[in-house]
Amino acid sequence: MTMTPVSVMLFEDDEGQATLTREALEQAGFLADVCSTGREGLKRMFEKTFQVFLIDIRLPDINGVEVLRRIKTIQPESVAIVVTGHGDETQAVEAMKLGADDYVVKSPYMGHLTALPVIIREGLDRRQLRHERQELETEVWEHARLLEERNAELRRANEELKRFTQLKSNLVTMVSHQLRDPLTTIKGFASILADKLAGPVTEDQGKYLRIIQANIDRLAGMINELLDMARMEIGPAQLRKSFVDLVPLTQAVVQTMRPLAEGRRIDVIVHLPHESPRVFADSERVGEILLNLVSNAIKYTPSPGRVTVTLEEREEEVQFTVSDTGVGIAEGDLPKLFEDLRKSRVEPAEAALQGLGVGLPMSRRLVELHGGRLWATSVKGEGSTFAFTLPKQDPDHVFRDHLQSGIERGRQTQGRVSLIAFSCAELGSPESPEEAGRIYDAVEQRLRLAVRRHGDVVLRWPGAALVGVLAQVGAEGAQRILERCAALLGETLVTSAGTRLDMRFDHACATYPEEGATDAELLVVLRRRLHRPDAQHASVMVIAAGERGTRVQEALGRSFTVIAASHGPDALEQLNRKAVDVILLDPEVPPTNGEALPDVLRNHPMSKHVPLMLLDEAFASWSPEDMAARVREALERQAGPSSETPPPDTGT
Amino acid sequence: MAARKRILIADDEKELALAIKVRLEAAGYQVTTAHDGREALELAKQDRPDLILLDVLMPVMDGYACLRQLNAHYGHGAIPVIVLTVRDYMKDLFALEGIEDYMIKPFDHEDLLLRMDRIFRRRAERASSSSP
Repeated sequence: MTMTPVSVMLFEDDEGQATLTREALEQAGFLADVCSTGREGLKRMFEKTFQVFLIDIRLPDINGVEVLRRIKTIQPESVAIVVTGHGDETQAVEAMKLGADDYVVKSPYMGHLTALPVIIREGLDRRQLRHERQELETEVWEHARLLEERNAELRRANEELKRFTQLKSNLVTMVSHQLRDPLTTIKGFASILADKLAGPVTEDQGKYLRIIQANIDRLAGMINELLDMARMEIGPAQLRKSFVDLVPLTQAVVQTMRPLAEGRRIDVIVHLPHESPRVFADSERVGEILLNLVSNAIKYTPSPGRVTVTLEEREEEVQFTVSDTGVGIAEGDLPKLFEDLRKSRVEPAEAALQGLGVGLPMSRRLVELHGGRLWATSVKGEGSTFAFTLPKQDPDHVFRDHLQSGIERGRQTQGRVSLIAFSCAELGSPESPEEAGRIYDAVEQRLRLAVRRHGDVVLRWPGAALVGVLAQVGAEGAQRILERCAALLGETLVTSAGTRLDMRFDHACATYPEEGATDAELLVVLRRRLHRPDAQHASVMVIAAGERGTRVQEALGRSFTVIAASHGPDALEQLNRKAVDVILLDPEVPPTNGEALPDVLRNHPMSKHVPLMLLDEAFASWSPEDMAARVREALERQAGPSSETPPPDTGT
Repeated sequence: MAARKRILIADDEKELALAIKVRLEAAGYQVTTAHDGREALELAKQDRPDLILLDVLMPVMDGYACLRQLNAHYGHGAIPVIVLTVRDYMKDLFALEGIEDYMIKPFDHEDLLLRMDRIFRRRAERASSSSP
């Protein structure tokens, strides 16, 4: 298998054995050198290259094992085979440990000599394989390193690109905004002249003024186009989503368009569901899309005419429909409406009409980014219908999703994620849910104003509190935002109702990773800080089996909300779904997976901050009043040292 | 004959404000102009206008701050305000209370007059229904 003969060095002090071995090796096609002492062999190693060493374990000067060690140090890739006599097997084992490739036991009749070439070839083959594997490994490592380098380069380039794109967008946005002021002035004076407010105008002057005005509108259209182009690049991450009530939004949009409609003698009819559907969306964008559809409908409908705006809620989505009694669009022309402005040339007259909101291509893109659809149908001469849908999502699910993705982002960028929350105990009691809803709406709006950055979100937490998720905001920042919101809130409560409301909003914040490593932990911390459990609203978990459990559950049920669990896994399952204020544990409940339940509860994110009380026979023998008093004591102890919530007299 | 309605225009673009002033005066309004938020606030405090056209981005004091102080002085929403803006500020406008309407630059004077007219009509109706 090897092209050039393999050189073998034989350490052997017995001359007869050496001769026989050499002959056997040479017959098998090897080149063999014999050294009778270890020292001689080691010296020869530096004069000539050997691929294989056959070492007799008993040498006169240096022990064979020691010779092996030195060979392996000098020439680690060589094949070393130890030759031992009967009874020297322990030394052979030691040699193997030191890196010998194999060993041969001498037979008194030299029988081992026939096996020797095979053993050497096997050793060489193994060596070769090992070598190849190492090379492969090195190669793989090298590839991985190159890949990693290239990835880093790509990442850098990508960052750069993102920065430039952002820069470009900012530039376009800035320029298109700054163009608006002079354009407004020109437009104003042109119309003043054309309307003869500054004196009589000749026929020719009037004609020229109309040309000026048409071109001003054209320029305005181009600026909008420019702005849309800059914004066309937005991705899902740039949507500022929150829960949006669609009825007030629709009303606000229609309200904005009424003067235009009245001026053009267009009736605007609105069909809204009784209960306002709520979607998780970017309210600003949805408002713009709707505004665009409604304003287009009004502009394209000859007066007198009618525009109908319908909002419908279905099982999994909501649908906005805007129909008009306009001139309609030929079927073949419908797709053109949605063509990217960069690709199609828009007629100046049409561009001028896109005065408000975003254009249709942009609208479609925005709807799709929300996971919805936008389409148009039209009958030439009868009118057009534009419709779009937005998917509905479960608030709890969205909330957890946001929290988790926020934390994930934080984890990747070593950043912080903070939660801030507002809650009002007075609003918890459902005496006037409508009033509560109105106040929470106002609070939500305020919170959104204070918290308007990408990635931030304001949600109504199941359980009536409001939570803002702030990406990249540490504990200090969150505290500042919290204070600002609280100040804004005071203003809102005073002004929105007209009279002063005596209402105290609790507020709190919690920051990842200092105060919680998972969303569940953060929520627990937040809940604990926000909500000082009082006797009526506290939830008590009773983990107990049998008659004692039933007795305590009944007794505590008179004063608290009781959550009953009969064993450990049941308790943990329920804790994952619902936060509790106190846990009562029967010591007779068996361990979970071999771990004592108190330990499990102390380590569980949903229960580690919750006071744990022992439910023994002594506790169970108290009167219901005494039991309740004990639980209340534990709640007070827990709430006592917390100083996150301000003293009551500074509220409102 | 009813007294002429007094309008305060606050926009740092002087000529933009002038164009609106010319238009509004031709429509029978009495117009004062201010070129930053503080000037607007002072003028509004000296002589209560019937309606304010308020730019958002202004030097010295911006439109929001001006609006807040006006609300603090005269009461929330006491004076109708139309905000003159570029369109990216819509969200804020929806959220801020006390704004009667807004115009996106560049806007039609005719549209502005229609909206002002509407605001005055509505206020008049409300006033007559609450004190018959």
